Amino acid sequence: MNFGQFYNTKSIIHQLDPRIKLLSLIIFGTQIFFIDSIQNYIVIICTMFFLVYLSHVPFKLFLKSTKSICSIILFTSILNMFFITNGNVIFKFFFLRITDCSLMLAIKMSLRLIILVFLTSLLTFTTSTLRLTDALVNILSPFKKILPTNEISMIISITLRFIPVLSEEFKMIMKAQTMRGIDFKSKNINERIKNYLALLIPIFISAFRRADDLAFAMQARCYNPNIKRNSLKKLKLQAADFYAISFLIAFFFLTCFLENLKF
Amino acid sequence: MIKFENVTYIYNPNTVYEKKALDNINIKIDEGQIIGLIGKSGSGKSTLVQNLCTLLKPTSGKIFTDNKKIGFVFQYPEHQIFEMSVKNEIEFAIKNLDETEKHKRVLDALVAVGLTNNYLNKNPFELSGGEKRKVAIASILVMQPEILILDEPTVGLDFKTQQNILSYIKKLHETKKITIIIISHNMNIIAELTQKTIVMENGKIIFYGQTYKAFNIPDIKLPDTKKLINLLNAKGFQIPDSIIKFDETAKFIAKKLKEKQN
Repeated sequence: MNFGQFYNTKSIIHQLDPRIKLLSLIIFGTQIFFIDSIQNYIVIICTMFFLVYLSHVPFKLFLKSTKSICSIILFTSILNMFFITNGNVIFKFFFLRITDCSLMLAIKMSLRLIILVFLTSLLTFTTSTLRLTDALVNILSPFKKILPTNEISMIISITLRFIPVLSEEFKMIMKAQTMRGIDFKSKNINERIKNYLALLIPIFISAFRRADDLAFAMQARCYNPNIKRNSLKKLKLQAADFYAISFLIAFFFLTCFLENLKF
Repeated sequence: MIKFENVTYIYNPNTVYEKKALDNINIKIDEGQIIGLIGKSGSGKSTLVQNLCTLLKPTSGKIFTDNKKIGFVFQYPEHQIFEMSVKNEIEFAIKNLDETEKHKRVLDALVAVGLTNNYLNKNPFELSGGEKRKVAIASILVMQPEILILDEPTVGLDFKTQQNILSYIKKLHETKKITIIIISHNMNIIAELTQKTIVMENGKIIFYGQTYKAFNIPDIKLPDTKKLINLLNAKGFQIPDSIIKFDETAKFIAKKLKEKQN
């Protein structure tokens, strides 16, 4: 699964400050659920493709990320299509009916999810987990007095760091158990659930063992979450970041303006 | 007969992460022997054996095994343990057999790895590292494989337990005459146990033949015995190339020293 993996290459998007990228994702990720006009979808999709082009990340990686949530998109589209009843009926089969409004809503909702996945992938493909965590700590720093921001950032970075490790281990244990005759694709659901226990127990044990080892290693290096930290590479806004901020503000107002335009 | 015919394996084909792990492998592996499989990390050793036991399907080419039963003991096999008793853990793969046959096979497997029936009701999670590994190996042996693949069978164990496990592998081969393929980075194990060795590099087999000949390949790490022999040969001992096993080396040196004394 490629969703969430950093793609190491040089591009303008890679060089941008991770805080700008993270905040833009939060703002535009929220905004796309409020837009409704066709012209806005066209502008957003075109801008998205332009950003993907600027990132120098292969387009098929974005498609692969979208593929992994295809079932969710399909599920929400079907729900929207068959459970929205207002508008003119364009298709009817027994009690199921599709109206022009429900069809439009299904298309819009699918587009929103696809745009969201593309934007999230753009962030994760162009920002390493370390920089992403730095950005998060920086954004959360005003809440330091009420939130344990250092611990939160440490938890996030450890989680992100260990996802591929545990995923590899999961695959390896699955292969080892397959060699002992365990059928993970059995058509009998009860048997399949039972068989997955042979996978879950070793995975849990392994995760706890790794957590234990990591805790010891951190203690051995005198890790103390309460100590004030600095970082090797301090986040500092560059000229490109200010251009990006200007572009994002202009883009935000453009989408608001287009939303209110009537054709 | 174990035969690979033009076998190529590519991970993540048609993506940016595409990687050719096996590159047109052609080999006929002798049966009934202990075969070593060596090579640097990422040379394709694990991919080769995973293709052999059908965990992976070759991207192209064919593998012939004459439908022989293959057992694969992964690295750190004790990490796959999940049952609450040694008996249940070992008999998991044969749970459909009748009780008498099951019990006989479990005891056979236990004996083969040097454990006794006193272990049957013990909790595997409470055993020592070496004992856990023996239980994990027994849970593969219980299926009576005709080809046994061991991926780094002694990694992470203390010296004494390593020797103990190796002696049982040797014994297993002597009694059952099964084909054993050992993947290892430890050249002492390869020198001591195997008759033939496969050397891999960048997804290709660069050598398959008598183990002692493999140690003439440049860049291959030498076993301790071979290092000693090279030193002694430099002093004029003339120990033949074919001697690499510990006992053989010791006997030969003793013989030579006796000759010199006389």
